[in-house]
Amino acid sequence: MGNSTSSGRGHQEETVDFGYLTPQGVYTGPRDWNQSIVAQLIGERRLAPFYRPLEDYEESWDDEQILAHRKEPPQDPDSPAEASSSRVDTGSISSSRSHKRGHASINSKETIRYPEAAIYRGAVECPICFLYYPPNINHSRCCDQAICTECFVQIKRAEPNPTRLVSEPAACPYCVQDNFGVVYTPPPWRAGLGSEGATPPSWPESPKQAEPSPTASMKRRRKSFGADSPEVVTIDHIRPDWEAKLAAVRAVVARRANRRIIMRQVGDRLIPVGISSGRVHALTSEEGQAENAEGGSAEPGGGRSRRSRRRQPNQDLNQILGTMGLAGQDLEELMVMEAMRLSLLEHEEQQRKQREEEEKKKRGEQGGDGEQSGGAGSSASPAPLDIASATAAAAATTPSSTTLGAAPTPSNPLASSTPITPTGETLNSTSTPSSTPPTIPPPVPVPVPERNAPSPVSASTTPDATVSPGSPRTADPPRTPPSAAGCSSTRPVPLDRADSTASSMAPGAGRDSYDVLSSSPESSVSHKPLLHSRPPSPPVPQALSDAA
Amino acid sequence: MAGLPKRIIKETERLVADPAPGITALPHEDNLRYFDVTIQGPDGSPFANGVFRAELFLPEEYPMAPPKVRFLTKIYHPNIDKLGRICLDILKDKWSPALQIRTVLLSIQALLSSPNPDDPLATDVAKHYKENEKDAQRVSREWTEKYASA
Repeated sequence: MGNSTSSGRGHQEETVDFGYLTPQGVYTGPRDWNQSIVAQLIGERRLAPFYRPLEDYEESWDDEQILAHRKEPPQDPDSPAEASSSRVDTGSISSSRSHKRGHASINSKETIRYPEAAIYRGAVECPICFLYYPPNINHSRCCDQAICTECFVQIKRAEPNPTRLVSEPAACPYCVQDNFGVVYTPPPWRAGLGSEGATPPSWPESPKQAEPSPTASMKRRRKSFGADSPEVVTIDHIRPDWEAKLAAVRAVVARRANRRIIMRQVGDRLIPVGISSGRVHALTSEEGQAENAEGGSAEPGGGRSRRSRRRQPNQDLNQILGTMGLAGQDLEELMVMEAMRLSLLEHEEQQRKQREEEEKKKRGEQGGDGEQSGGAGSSASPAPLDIASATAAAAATTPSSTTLGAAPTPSNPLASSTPITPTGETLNSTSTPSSTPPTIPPPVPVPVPERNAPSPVSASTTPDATVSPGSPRTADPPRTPPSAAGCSSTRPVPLDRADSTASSMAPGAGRDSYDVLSSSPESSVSHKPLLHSRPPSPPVPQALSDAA
Repeated sequence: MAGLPKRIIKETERLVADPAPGITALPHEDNLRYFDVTIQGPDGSPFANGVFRAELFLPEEYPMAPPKVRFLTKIYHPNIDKLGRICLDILKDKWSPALQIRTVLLSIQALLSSPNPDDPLATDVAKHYKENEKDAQRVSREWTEKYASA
């Protein structure tokens, strides 16, 4: 074994049938597929190797011309490739030193000289990158169209995002059938090596044995394969993390939809004083361990992991929330809090100014009526509910707010997410002396669905919303937004915990004085202003009518 | 030219060598991903005899992401809004990397022949088309004459 042809060349150990385990630079974007799975599939001859493509091809070309038209190899052979190749080598590559057989018609001398050129005989143009590859190229499982591995690994599910909570399998680029997958028929010979002889060549020199590889006997087909056929490699095989990604996005949305801003009603204003966490409770450690084991064992190339994951969407969700989700979530909440704090500061500032104005006016008129400058604020303004947009924009904006005489409070009541009673008192005590202190109704947690377009009135509820003081939320599970219809087959996120979170946010006030409005995230809910609705719950309407 | 994928070079060459009937697409010299496009209004449609200018841009991800296409000539069509944006599935979620500049432009030309007011982008135009197609087509013809005469 071993001949002069192969021994002189570097990187021999990274080639499979004169192709490579890593992309050859057709695409420059991020390599977001699972490279070790791809390398393994190439080693198993289930996916065509990454060949250096020819930019053009003519049947009449000789070997030198062919080699001259190969695309320049990528400048920076990245390290992940090295890592993955050794991984692959341990198992699957049956290696034999570059003996090219099977093409009896090819002049043997030429073969020895340029096997790398000979493989391009009868080159096929990939219809997507328009480059030419050796005829042993992948074919779509459904419509038998050629596609190079370089293009294949680029095809993926659309990234889920908060407005699009489904992840549909990528369609075949040619016939648009779902669950795009390819089938590869390797050449009848094999070439390529394990890494530095770690795996000794597993077959003898005899051409008879070297010739038929397990899948090579498959004839050029005209039939299509099902997405779950063992021969088929789908785009989900090489990106096994798609479900986790989807779950993560869904969890974020669900959490946001469930989040509530705790509001304190002062006069006819609702002042945001805190934010409830919509967080789903963390994993029990047992669950977490189970899930970690599960995730860690995701076998490359196996359809198994996909199926088993599907059985446990909830665990997936929990895992995501329990791990990567947390940091972002806390940050998000902090940003919301900061936005509210700024909002409140500005609010108070404006109130102060307004009060000064009115004081001035009063002095001028000498007959000011206390009612006019009252803390309840006589000028109508959309301010109180602006918190919704503040929430959406996080700390970026400082929504304007108005009225309600109060000196700027240096202490920040929003530093904790607990509604702080002193806030109301501060507001009161500093309001114009002549005004009758408005009754301070209990803070009202208001659901603020903050996905999608920030509506200035999203802190609201519908008349239909059930408000039962004792049990904040009915058995209705929170629904994912309408756009998520397609993904409702998996169970919604277990959000029950948020209730207790919300109620625990209102310590001291007690159940009677806190009213948790329904937080059903249905979008219809969020478009009706709270102040115009008539929630059936006694405390709130009462307070509202008092204020009005 | 550096870094321009071979596919874009080949597509451009083929577009120039063998243009689709009624369609031109010429890349800018300083940006080979940016094309000046003209599309002739299809015969038999209210846009017949009009020549509509459009721009086409191939984003970095092309062909894995669709080209961005926008009409520059005003056009009264339920699936094309005031800004020239086009509501066409293959330009969005139904994009396939097997499609090309040529096929995209042919699809847009076909869209002129068969407006789809049920999936509107310009809602007022779509309403007009649904309620009184004849009159809406009259306006489309007027706009074609006014803005798209060659």
